[in-house]
Amino acid sequence: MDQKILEAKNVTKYFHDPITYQVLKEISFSVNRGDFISVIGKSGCGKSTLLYILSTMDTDYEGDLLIDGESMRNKKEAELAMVRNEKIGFVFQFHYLLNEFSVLKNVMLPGLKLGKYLEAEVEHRAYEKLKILGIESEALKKPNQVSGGQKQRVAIARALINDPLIIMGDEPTGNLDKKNSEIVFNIFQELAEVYNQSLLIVTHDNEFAARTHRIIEMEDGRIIKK
Amino acid sequence: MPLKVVGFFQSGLQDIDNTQSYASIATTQKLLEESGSYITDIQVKLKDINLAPAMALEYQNLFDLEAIDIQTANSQFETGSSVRTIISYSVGITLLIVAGFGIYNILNMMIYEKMDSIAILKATGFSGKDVNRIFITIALSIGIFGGILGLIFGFGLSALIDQVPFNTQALPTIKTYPVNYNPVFYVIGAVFSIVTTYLAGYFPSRKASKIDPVIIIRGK
Repeated sequence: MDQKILEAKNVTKYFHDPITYQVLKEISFSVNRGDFISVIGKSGCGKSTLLYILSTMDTDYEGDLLIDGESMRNKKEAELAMVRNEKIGFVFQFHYLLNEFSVLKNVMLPGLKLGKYLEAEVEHRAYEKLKILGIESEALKKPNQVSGGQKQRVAIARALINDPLIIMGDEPTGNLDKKNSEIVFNIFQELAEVYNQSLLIVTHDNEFAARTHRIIEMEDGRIIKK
Repeated sequence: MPLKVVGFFQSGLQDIDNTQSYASIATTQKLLEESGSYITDIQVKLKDINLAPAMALEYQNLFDLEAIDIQTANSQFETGSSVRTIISYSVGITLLIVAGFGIYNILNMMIYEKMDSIAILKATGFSGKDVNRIFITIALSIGIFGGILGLIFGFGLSALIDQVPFNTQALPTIKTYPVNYNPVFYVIGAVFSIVTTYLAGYFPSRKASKIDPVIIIRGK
C-alpha cells in the first residue's frame, strides 16, 4: 500500500516570459499507490504548472521527478511519450475527444498506441471501461452526439484504458454542472476505493477537495499544507 | 531521253515538291553523262538514330571521306525541339510549385484546426514522430489519390484530343492529332505528384510534431 509511484524532489521552475519569475519553489512530495489526492490553491499559485511537470509534458524545470522509481530527468521526448502512454492517464477541464472517431475508438486510441494487446482485446477493454463509467450504450456514437457530462466520462475511460499507475486531472469538473461534477467525483472515488487507482487532481473546488483522501494546498509556488 | 512518270511523291514541303523528282541511279548517271561509278551521296538509315555520330566518325576514318551524322545535319530542328521540351517542362514545374503551395496551405490550416487533437495525442503518449507520420501520411495520400485522378483525367483528355481532326499536307497518313501514349510520361507524372506533396507536407508536419501540448491545454 505504501509503495511510492511518483515522487517529486525539489522541483523548481521559472517562467522567463515576460520577466523571470519563480513559479515553483523546491516542491517535494510523493504519491503512493491508491492515493486519492487533490491539489488546491488560488489561481496563479503554480498548481497546474506543477501538474504539467509531474505529467512529464513540461520538461523545463530543476530538481528531479521519479515515476515508478525511474528518473524522468534525462529522458528523450519519445521515451517520455511512452511513459505517459503507459503509466499516466489524463483528464483535463476540456474533454479533448476527437470528433472524427466514435466514442469507443477515442477510448481505444492510447491502447492501440501502447500495442500491448490486439485490437480486438483493446476494444473489449474499452467496452469494460465504458461499462464502469455507465456509458457503454454511447460507445458507437460520435463525441459531438453525447452530452457534456458524458464526454468527460469518455475522457476518463480513455485515461483508464492502459491501466495507468496514476490518473492526473486538471480541473476535471471545471466545465461541469453540479450534477455531473458529482457523477465524476463518485467515479473517481470508486476508482480509488474499489480499483485502488491513484489519482492526483488539481482543482479549485474546495468541496470536491474536502472529500478526497489527502489535500495538498499550495501558495506562491510552495506546498503549505499536506 | 524520254522518261515516264510512274507516280507522285509529296513530302509536304511545297518548295521541294515543286523542284524535285526522283529517278533510279542508272538513269541519273545517264542524264548527267557520268560513268557508272559516279555517286555524290550515300545516306545510311540506322535502326538506332543515336548511333549516327559515332558511325559517321568511324566511316570518315575508314573510307577517308566526309561523313555527316543526322544530328549535325538537322541541328536547327534539334534546337527547336529542345526549346519546346524546356518550355513544356518549365510550365509543368511552375504548375507543380503552385499546386505544392496549395497543399502546403491546406496542411498548415489543418494543423491550426487540429491543434487540440494534436495536443491530446501527445498527452496520451503519441510522440512527435508519430504526429509527424500522421501528417506526412495525409500529404502523401493527397499526392497518391490526386496523382491517380490527374493521370486518369490526363489520359481522358489525350484520348479526346486524339479524336480531333488534324489535316495537313505534310503528313498525309495522319488524320487526327498525333498523341504520344508512352507510359514513361505517366510514370514521370506520378513521381512528380508524390514528390511535390511530400515536400509540401514536410514542413507543416514538422511544425505539428513540435507543438507543445502544455501550451494548448493550458490555453483553454
